[in-house]
Amino acid sequence: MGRDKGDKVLADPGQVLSGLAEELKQLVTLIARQSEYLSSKQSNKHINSIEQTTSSALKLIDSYLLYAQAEYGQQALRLQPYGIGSILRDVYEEIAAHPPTKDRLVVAADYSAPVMCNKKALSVALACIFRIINGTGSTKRNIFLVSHRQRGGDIFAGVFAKQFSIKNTELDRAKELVGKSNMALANQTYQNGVDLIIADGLARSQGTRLGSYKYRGMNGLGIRLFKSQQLSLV
Amino acid sequence: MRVLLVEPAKDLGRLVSQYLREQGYRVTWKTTAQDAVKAADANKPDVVVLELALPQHNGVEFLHEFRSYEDWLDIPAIIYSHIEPDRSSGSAKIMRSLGIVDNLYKPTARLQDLLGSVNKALAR
Repeated sequence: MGRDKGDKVLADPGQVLSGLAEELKQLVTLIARQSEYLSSKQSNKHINSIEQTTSSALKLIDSYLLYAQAEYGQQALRLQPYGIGSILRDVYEEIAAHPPTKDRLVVAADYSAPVMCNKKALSVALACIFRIINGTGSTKRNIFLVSHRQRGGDIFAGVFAKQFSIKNTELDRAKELVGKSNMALANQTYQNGVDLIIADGLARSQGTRLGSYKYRGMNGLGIRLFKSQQLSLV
Repeated sequence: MRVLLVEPAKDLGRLVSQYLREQGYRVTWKTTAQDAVKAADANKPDVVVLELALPQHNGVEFLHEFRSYEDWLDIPAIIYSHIEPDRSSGSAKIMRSLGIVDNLYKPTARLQDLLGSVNKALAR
C-alpha cells in the first residue's frame, strides 16, 4: 500500500477544490430548483427555507470559486475606478434579498467617491464579511455596511456591528486556524471562518488587505481602498 | 408553443421539462447538441433553452450550427447555464448575432425566471 515513487501528483489542491466546488454548485442548484418546484405545489415554510439555504450555499461556492481564480489563476484581477457607494448599494440588494436580514442591514456610504477596485471581488468580499458578522451575537441588532474615510486619510469599506469585536492579531490567528479548527473565530461565531480566508484573499488580489476597523463606536472588518487618481484628474 | 430544451444534466432536464409542460408548453428535451439539431429538424421549435456546457459541442458551437439553417434564424435562444453570464456571453453584439435574447445563470435564476424569459421571448 501507499504511493509508488514513480507516482505523480496530477492536480494541486486548489484545482481539486475548484473542481469540487463546480460540481457542488450543480448539485445545490438542483436542490434549489427542486425545492422551488415543490413549494409551487405546496406552501410550506420548511420547503421555502430550503431555497434560502441553497441560495446561501451557492453564494458561498461562487465566492470560493472567485477566490480560487484570484489566488491560483493565471490572470490578475483587473482594477477599475468604481463609486464605492454604488458597490455598497449593490451588495445591500443582494444580501437583503431575504427578509429578517433586510430589516437589520443599514448602508452608510459616508465616502462614495471613486476607488480603484475589482467590483466583483470587492462585492463578494463584503458579502463574506457580512456572513462572518451576521454569525455573531444577537440577531436583533443592526449591521452596518459602511464606506468611510478615516481621519488619517485611509479609506475603507466594511461591515460593522455593536456585538462584534476583533483585533488584527486575533484576525491573523483566526486565519491560521481556518481548516484546522471547527471554529476559527471561536469567541465570535460558531462558523468555521472560511469566509475570512475568502475575503482576505480577495482583498489581497486587489493589492489591499482585510483588517479590523472602528466606525462610530462599532467594531468591524473592512477592506482598505485607494482613491481613483484617474477620475480626480478630470 | 414548442420549447427545445438542451440540457445535459438529467435530473435538472427532467425537472425543467416537467415544469414548462405544466405551464402549457410542449417541450422537447435533448442532452446533446447533435440530438438537439436532429430534434429541431423533426419539429421546429419556437424557442431554444440552452446550457452552454454541453458534451462534445458547446452551446455556442450549437448556436452557430443552428443559425446556419435559414429556417431557424428567427428562433430566439435563451441561455440557461451554470457558466456565469460575464464569462459566457462575450459581447452584446455576439449575443445578438446568435439570437440570444436572455442569459440566465442557473444558480440564481429560479424556474419562474426561466418561465418569464420563455414567455417574453415568445411574445416578441
